[in-house]
Amino acid sequence: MNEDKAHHRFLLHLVATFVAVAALCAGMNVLIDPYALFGTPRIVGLNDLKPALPERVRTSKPYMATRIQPRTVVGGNSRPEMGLNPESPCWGDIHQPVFNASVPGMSVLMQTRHVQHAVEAGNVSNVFLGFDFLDFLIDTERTGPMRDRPRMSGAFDGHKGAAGERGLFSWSLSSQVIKDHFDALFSLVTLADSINTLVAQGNPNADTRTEQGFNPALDYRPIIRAEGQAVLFAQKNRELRQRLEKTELRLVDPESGISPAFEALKAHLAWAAERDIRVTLFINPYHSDYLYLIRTTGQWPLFEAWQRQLAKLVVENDVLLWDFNAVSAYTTEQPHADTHAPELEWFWEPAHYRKELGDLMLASMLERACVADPPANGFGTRVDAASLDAHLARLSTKLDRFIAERPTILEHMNNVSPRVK
Amino acid sequence: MLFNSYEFLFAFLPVTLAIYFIVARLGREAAILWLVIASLFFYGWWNPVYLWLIAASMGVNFLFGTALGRHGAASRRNGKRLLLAVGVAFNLSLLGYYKYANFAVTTINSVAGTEFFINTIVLPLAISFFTFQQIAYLVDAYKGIAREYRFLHYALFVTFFPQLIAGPIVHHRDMLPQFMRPDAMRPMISNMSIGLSIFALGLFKKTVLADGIAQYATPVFDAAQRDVALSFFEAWGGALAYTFQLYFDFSGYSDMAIGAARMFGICLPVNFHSPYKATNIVEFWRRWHMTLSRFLRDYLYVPLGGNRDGRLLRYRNLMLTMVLGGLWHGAGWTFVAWGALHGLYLSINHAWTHLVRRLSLPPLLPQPLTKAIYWALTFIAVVVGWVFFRAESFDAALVMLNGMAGLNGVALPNAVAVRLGPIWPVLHGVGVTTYLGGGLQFIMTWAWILFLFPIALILPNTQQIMSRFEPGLQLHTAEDRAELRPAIRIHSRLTWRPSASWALNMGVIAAFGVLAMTRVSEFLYFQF
Repeated sequence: MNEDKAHHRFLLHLVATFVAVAALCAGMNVLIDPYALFGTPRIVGLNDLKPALPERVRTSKPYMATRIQPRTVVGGNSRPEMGLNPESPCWGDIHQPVFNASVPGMSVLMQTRHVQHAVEAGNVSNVFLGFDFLDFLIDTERTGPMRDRPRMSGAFDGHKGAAGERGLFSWSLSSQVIKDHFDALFSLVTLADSINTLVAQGNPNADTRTEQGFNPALDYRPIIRAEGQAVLFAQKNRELRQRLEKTELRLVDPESGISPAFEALKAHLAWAAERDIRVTLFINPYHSDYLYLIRTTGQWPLFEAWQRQLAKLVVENDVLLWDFNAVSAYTTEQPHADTHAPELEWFWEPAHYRKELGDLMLASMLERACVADPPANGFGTRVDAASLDAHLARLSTKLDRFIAERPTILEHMNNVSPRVK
Repeated sequence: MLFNSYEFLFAFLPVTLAIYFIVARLGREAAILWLVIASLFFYGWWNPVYLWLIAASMGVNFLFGTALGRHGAASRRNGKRLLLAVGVAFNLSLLGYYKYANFAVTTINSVAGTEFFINTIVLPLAISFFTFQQIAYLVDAYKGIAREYRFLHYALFVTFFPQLIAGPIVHHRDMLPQFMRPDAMRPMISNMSIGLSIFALGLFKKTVLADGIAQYATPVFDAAQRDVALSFFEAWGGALAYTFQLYFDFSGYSDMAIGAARMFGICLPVNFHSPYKATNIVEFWRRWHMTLSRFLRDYLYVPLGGNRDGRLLRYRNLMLTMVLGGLWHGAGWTFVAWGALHGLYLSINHAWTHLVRRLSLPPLLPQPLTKAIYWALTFIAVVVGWVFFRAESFDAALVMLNGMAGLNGVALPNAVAVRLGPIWPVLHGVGVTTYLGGGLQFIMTWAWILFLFPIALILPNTQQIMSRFEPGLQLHTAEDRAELRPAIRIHSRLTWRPSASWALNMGVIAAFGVLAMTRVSEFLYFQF
């Protein structure tokens, strides 16, 4: 009988401990809010920097947008996410609050879904949507969810889609919201991320996102200091080369005869037009290394075809298109292998530009004098169907001249090897 | 339904338990009926389509078993044997169709250049387990060891949900008598606390440890499948991560099964006994998936002749048993290779033991060193085997093994190398190079491996922790030379009792196990 009592007490203590641990975990997760899901105020030294958030932006950004209630939304992939700062002085009062709804590593469809959600969350009159050549390419050797549009639409972003669809998916939307919050509350992974968030507050270079959805890309700094910026370039160039060297890349799916990315963009533009939202499209600037890789892997004709198709879409939908690609002092800085060398002024690595370049882009798109030394002819080119051919010819010629003038570029591209001192 | 799901933990298990003990007041048969219904619901939760299959399989096997039980006279032995053969053939053809038909057609097409086609057949959940369990029942019925004349009882033996999906493989004679005990239907608080503790340990192993390291094994094997040349540390990192993932995953699952059954007052056979502590491969197989090992020994190896007809035939029997055991795990050549490799290991182990005994060799090295070498050899052999087990293709396994052999060089992530300070020039001097990217992945992989190694090698296992309270059937005991015993003194301090401190520990472990469930994961053994 005594033994039964001992077992009984054991079970009571066990259950009490279980409940206490779960409650402590939930409390800690709400207080620290490592994914910026609950909207706990950010306090410097406690939870201001959020190193676990970058991996959860797909989940968190819709909730962040709901809190910001933006008037201006920036969309796209990781490039505008770390290039266009919602707190840039280039934005005027009429644009604020600005929310950066860009999400890394997602299809154009999902990028536009995030923008639509952010638009629905506020009172938006302006959308700036950045595009990337690679996001429009279909690799026919690759199968899977990237090409599986219905499956993507059914994913969580679909549940959190635009208001027009919420009537249809109200149950799934509600259950998704409950699930997101439950998972973030009662989760050991979240608890570990909360602790990591606390520890990271002393790290000035912690990977994070601002409340407005911007990626300050501070985590590049320790890599540059430890390994040199050339290593970042070498690694990115290798990845880009691997993707661009595939021979089966195309813009249109050979099976369906459509381009999922262009279809998504078309649908988005129609959606925005219905709501009287002014959309500005822009092509992200690439470093000359990136352009060089497009050229040397034989994808330049596809690159031009992509821009032509974009320009056609612009005409059909009466929106603006900016191309920020150029071979100029802004895009041809060469990275240093030396860990003590200063960082490049305009690019982190060939695919990702810094907010300083982003400010130049905003100055052009917003027609505002907000940067210290603006280029004489402005930065970037506003293109349409009529001016595109001339623009592409100019870009191509300048790139060829740059390559001819810098014969060592090939060597630099292929031989930047990691250096360890 | 998964054990590591909220619907199981907070709905199915408590409701089934409560109703079971309430219904038991009405009588044993009512309680058994409830348990069968609940178990079928548990089975059908994921995909109810194959409920008919398990029901039909049980029905046919019950008829065969009943007939075998009634065929008592020696004069009718041939008829009985024929009946057994037909029964076993029925089970094997069911398994063969659902599990191996696609594999057989693909193999025939690739070998003979034919173009036979069959649609992809979806593998019914747990078919390998309930088929083997029922074959064992038929053989036991043939031998007169098992006899069951009530279909409901037979259905409970097959479907009892804790062991239905992934074992342990139980015998009718081990389980049904427990339900027939006079006090079997009475809820006992001690069974609850013991069962819950065993379950909590299993859940923690699965959701915290196995799922925690799984994310570092998968990318490496995926890279091998893409024919990426893996360097030494990358390949070993992936192989060791999978080695621990599989162990904590499957042994965690077995603990949960044993714990859940214990809450109903039923003791299941233990399935793991710290297999990575084994110092030879024979001992490893006495500790890894123990109920399957015993099944293969009793129903395959021994009928093939075992060791009765000389050493050479013994080795042949070992090879055949292990190859078929490999094929049981999955319809693919990598599983065949894994089985063949272990057949070879076992044959070498037996041959070596025979040789040492025959030559009466004096020990060349001090005993602890010999033991350490034996352990290292065994462990490496097991890890190499897991590479075939996990790899998606034979080629991918070879890519992994090339990396592990150092054929692609020894390299560290550049980000790690730059932080090694004065050690790096030394490493670089002996040929270690660097590669870009993957620094965090590298650090986390090896941190997890270094964290899990001592847990698998030093800490007591679940049945040792619970040793004072009969944690399972067929407990394993080993000689000192058969296992590594580092820090054995810890074991006595980590013996469970229903105390406040253990309640605190188990409460934390249970909470961590539940809180770690938000990751999407499936049991590795689900498809076997």
